[in-house]
Amino acid sequence: MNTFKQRCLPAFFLLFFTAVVFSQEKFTLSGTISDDSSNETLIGANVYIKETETVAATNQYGFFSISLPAGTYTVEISYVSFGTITETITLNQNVRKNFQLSSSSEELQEVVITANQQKANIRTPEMSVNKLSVQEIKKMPVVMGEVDVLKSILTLPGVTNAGEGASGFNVRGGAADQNLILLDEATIFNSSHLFGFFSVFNADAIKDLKLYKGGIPARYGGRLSSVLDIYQKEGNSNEFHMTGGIGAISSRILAEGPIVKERGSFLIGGRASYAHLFMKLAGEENSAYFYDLNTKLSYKLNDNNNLYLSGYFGRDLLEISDSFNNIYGNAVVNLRWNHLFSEKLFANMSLIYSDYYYGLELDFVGLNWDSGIKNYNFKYDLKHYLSDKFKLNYGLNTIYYDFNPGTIEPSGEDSDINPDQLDKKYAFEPAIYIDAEQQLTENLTVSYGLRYSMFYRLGAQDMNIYTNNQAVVFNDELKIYEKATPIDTKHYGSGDVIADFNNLEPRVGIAYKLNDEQSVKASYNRMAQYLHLITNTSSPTPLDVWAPSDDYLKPQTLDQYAVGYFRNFKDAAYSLETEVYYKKIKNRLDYIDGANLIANEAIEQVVLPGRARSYGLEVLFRKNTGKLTGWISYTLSRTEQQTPGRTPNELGINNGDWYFAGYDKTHNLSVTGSYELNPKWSFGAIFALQSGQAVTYPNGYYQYGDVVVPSFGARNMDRNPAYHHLDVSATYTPKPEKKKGWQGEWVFSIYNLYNRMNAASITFRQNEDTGANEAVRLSIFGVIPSVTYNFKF
Amino acid sequence: MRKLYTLLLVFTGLFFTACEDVVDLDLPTAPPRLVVEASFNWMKTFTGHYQEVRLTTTAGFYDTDVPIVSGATVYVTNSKNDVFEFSEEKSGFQGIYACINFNPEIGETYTLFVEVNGETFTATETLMPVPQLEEVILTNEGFDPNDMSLKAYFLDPPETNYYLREIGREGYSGGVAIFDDRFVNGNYTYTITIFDDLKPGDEITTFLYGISSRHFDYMSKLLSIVDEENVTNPFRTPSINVRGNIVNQTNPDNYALGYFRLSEGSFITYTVE
Repeated sequence: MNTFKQRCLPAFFLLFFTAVVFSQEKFTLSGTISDDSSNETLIGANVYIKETETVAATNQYGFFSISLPAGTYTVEISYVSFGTITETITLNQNVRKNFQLSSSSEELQEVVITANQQKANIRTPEMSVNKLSVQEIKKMPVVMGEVDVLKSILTLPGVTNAGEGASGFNVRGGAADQNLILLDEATIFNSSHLFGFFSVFNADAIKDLKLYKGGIPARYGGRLSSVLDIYQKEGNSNEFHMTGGIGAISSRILAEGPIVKERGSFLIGGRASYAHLFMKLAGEENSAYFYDLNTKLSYKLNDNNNLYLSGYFGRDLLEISDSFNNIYGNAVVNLRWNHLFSEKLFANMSLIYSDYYYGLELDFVGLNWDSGIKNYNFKYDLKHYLSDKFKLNYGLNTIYYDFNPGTIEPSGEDSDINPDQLDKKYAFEPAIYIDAEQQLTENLTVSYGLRYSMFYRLGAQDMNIYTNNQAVVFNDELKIYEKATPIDTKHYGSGDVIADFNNLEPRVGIAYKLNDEQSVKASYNRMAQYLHLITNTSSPTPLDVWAPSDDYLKPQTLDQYAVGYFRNFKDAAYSLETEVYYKKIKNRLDYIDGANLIANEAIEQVVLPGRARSYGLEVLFRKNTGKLTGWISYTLSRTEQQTPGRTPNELGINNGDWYFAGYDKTHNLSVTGSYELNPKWSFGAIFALQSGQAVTYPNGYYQYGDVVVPSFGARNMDRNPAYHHLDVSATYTPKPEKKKGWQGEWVFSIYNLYNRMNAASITFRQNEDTGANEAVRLSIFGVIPSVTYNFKF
Repeated sequence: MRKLYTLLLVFTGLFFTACEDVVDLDLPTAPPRLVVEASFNWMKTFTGHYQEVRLTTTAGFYDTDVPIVSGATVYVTNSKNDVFEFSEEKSGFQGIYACINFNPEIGETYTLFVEVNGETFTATETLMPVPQLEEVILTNEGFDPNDMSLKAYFLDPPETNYYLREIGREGYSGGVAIFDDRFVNGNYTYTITIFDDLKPGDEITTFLYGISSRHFDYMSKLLSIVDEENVTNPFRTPSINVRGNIVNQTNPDNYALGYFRLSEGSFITYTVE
């Protein structure tokens, strides 16, 4: 670490000062860009200055700022599927101007859409980033007609998941707990409903999403592999509107409108599943359902100050014959204040409270179980638009965590359960960062930043102490890992520091523009993660607990390198993005064989530190214009994990050999297309083809008592059959010309058109009747047609 | 703890019964490995003099039977160096090695010796006590309207205990489950079995055995890789070869599977009315 400081920090400051010297005698054009019909701000809208060929994009609050020498300029404002505005602006003083774009689809253009956000970004060092607009997501065919934000990102290169119905997603070989999922800046701990079949995000309430797979800016931290940044809509501040949809599984309704016209708006959206009601009618006593609620209040105090209050509340409820009740979900409240110190300095302050709750009632065991994570987050982020060639982002982020691994109570007087409280855990995670983007020459732009993250594990808690500090011991005779018995415990009082860690996380990117259509880029990022999701299964379950780092569970760190080639063809009608990446992860936890993780108070006794590596090639080819648009994404990759023995005598996990991660997919191809036939009909299709999951097939079996036990060789050396499916959808708008009052639309979709029986899992067991062993394939989704009706007024 | 876990499995099975079919996979067969099944149960009020050890090997996954291991030398010693010989049964029961003068003592440590094909395998374990099963209560609780829950009660001792439970029914033995006294330590508690096919007159025997913490870990690994019909395990952990307490003293790499366990046992029989 020290050598890094000495070598890199002076260079960092040098760049900073050169930039300041040249930023004189300029004026600033700044403002916000919004949709003229709703006043909803647009994220990532482009501002292009023709004379200087300067390009800027709006930030996540729709704000932009460009500094230019005095003069008269032609300014072009554009955004995907919106028209383009061209204006001449004379800059002889700082100019503050807000622009409003009108949606091109509302003008019933049958002409091709020209402005497009999705063309490859040639100029800036930003790479390994994918954006999807909600319009694109809504066009994709989906299981049972449920528009799914998380499933949509699986069509992007470098993104996979463990299988159908598996929750979570894996980015460039990262584990599912290594994704930072932000909803309006607030961290979401569990992103799926009903064991991963649906995501917790209501697409109607969402404006935009951006997925960072690499080159992650210094502003983000706390997770290793990716950032999924999701922004909710602010709500229409011009007029009251409602949108909604009726589907097979769930229905949703959303209301938005002005509180004070053009200054304040509200948005409230709800969604609930009701398939369980039909099940009840059919005499089924068991039920599973979910609901969620998105709310947002936005208020513009004046030109320089905006306030946003947003909230999310979601719950899953599972019930079996009154014997088993399970409730879990997230609740998030978030207050943000945007403040403009000057035309060049934009600030956002966020105060976030988030609560993940998991509760279980087991009546015939007589047990009630509550667990959860509460966190309090304060963020202050500044964007400093120093010149058209130099931008700085800096700020701080602090999070206080309160983990409740479990409160156990007897459910009634006749219960035999002893009340128990598993040790609560507390932690504080502050970080500061600075990030610069600088254009060095006409063709060369760099970004460089540094994040300094810290982590304090706090009391009150009694911590176990072990011989030689080893919580897991290797039994050399039996060749198995076993739990160590603590020799003592040490009490830490409230607020005492139990363990602390810090990491310097450099982030560097460079873009070299070959010409206006092509560029090459490279990036490096280091990340640190102080929380571990304790799970021994291939995909997370809601019952999994998060554990903060301590002396036994060390923070995970990652180094990632990526290089890429980016190109737009034919005036960005087509674009190509290719990247190769290599990443390695330290301190990835692995579990000793047979580790029991549920209600385990001493997780350190069942985990060993391992490492992981992943490398791959990603290709994304897009067709951006015309009636047929879409993309082909292909990833060739390998993801492996290794947990060697700590001494030469120890076997390690899987004999200390590298093994494939459960979500390793050698080939991953996805073709996503949509076709606008006419204003009434449009069509969508997705084809996915992936290598089968890495699994372990038995190489024999044996009999132990009454139990037939499969025997296995090395871990994850076999592959399930290839996974593929084709999904199609058709959208019918009966009255496309209607722009006021009730506007309806039908979405017909067929998931898995040719009824491919994909293996969600293959299990090896004895047939109860014949006694013979057999391999049994479980397929979750066959062909599933569905109809959804969407409306707005 | 195990109770909770088992329940979760059953519960998730309900939602994931989507579509199952048998597939034909070409599976390799590893060279055979010795499997030692030495589960010594000493039922309360019984002498426990008769015990047996079964020796088999692994087989190809699709093979109908597992091969027996014949011609081995098997004996057990205790801390006083008493030696208990196990001799192989005659034709028809080969691979079973029995002893008729075993002397069980709670808390005593025993070592098993198996000599076969010039290699010596050993295992050491302690005979663990168990409380008496005292009563059985049958209720209508369960996941399904047809389900009946059979609860067999016992008083858990104050220290940490680990248990193995088995169910015996006419023409059936199985229902293997393990659990510990986490959440119920020192209480009058029960082991629960859910049936969906009980009818009046059925006799159900619940067996409860005391096991060591090591055997508990062994069984939890073993049961976690065993898949049962109609229960799809979303909490499935990585598939591994489960190693017990049998050590090959001659050639450690050629390890044996199985376990040497000694338990005091208790049972109670309930007749459905």
